[in-house]
Amino acid sequence: MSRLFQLCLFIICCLGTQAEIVVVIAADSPISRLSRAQLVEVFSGRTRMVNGVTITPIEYINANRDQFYQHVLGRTSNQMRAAWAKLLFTGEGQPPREFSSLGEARSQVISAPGLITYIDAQQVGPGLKVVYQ
Amino acid sequence: MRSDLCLPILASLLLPVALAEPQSKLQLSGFGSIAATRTDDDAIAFKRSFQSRANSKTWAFDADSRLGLQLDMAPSDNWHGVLQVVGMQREKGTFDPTVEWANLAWEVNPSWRLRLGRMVTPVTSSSESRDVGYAQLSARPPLETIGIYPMVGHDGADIRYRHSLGEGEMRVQMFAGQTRYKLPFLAYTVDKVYGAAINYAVNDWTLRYAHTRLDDARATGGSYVTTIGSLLPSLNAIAPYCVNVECSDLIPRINRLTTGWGGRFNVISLSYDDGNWNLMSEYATRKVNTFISDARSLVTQLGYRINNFTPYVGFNKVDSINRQQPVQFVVSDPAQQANADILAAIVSRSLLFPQAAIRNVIGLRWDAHRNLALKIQVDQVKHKYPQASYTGFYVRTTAPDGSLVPYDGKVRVYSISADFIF
Repeated sequence: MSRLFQLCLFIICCLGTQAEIVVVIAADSPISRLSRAQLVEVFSGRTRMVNGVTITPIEYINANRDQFYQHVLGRTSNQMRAAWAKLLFTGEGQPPREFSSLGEARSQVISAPGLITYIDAQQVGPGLKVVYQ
Repeated sequence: MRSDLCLPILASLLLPVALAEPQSKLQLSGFGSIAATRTDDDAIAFKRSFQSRANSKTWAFDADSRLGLQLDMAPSDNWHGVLQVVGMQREKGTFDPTVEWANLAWEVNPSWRLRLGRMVTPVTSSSESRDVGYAQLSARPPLETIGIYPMVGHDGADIRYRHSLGEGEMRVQMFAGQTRYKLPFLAYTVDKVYGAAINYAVNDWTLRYAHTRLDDARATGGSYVTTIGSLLPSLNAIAPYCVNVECSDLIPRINRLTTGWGGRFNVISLSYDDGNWNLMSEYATRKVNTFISDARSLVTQLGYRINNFTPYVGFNKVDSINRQQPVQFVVSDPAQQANADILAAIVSRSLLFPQAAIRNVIGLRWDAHRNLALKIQVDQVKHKYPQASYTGFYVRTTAPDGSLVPYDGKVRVYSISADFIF
């Protein structure tokens, strides 16, 4: 019975665990940390500069958008689209550029100062620095 | 540059660049609203101030329905062109497209941007996105603050500067240009539109202040000009004999409608959005040197998101600071007094429209599908001067004999809309 209980607990824990999402920037960026509020400002396009440094968010196909928007930014996809619509149709900016794969997005972040994106914590590698987790 | 020359020149500058450059990025997108409105009173109809047709107690799609198409061009990282055409019911009562945005922007560096062409004047926090229903929480932008400014856009230039300040970002935008604008009863040419907007965004809060000025605005056509043109010889004949301030002040102001008038507009806004709670409050003032009333308005809106549903409430108020009551002209020559009385009555009835009103709002936004929001809204409006002949957003209806249908000063406006982007 005890083993069965432990097995059930393990399964529930596994099912309930979601990949941890972190926000990354190039390792040589002067930005070392971003707050949740700053991420909201940056990803909704209301801010492009943090502590004097230009920051541009990017995304990629199959990015875990809903989890990032909901659990990190505290917004729904619909709210983000409404924010981007306001930017786009007033000539103030574009939604985050979408790259074709995580690999391409990672390469862009490493090579272009100021680009940030969100990835699974396990995918952080050389050349990247975590600025929010 | 004349505004009718500006667009073809700008288009000719943009398109060859976009088509010739292999790395050019062209993107077509759009937005729209299919929206029905009605009032609960045959005596009063609802419309936008620039529209001809108003609608009272039957459902109609005239007031808020629109379709916008936008072409974005980015020939390089630092250059961006935008062309936006929006179709809706306008001053002739027909669904007409108008170029709302047509400009070329140069990002000099991350801090500075220079923009040249046609743009919407950033008078209030929602002026620039006024047509994009999907970007707004409620069924339409706050008419009390947007309506305090009589124009929409300008052809000219603006400079924007961004700067990190504390945990947030400050944006300063300075603009200047000229414009033309048509209302159902009036056409304007404005030689000088200029001002500045300062915006500070930090931790879910945004504080904004904008100051806009109009100079050398001249009415060039429309029934209003005809009415005033027929009155002015008589008004100017009694002007030298004016004794009271209403007479000596108002007659030159009426003259300025066609000879050139100016206005000052101040708007301060505060908004908060943490993903669940959404608050927007805005206070606006208008001061003009023609006979149109000075005004002040306050709008406040609060919403709370529950999954894909966001119920919201609003309290809005607009007041005419002057021109609330019929005017009286007192003249020094007794022989002219009877004539002055008649002219004062005509001016009061034909030219002075006090806009004082309180509007309470309750509504619901439902993000029903990706890129689609459905909204239902009820506006409870109470006009302070129900006897006035309104011309802005609310229009008194006339009986078959031409008289105004009696109005008790209270009206509800019901709205149902589907706002989308693509």
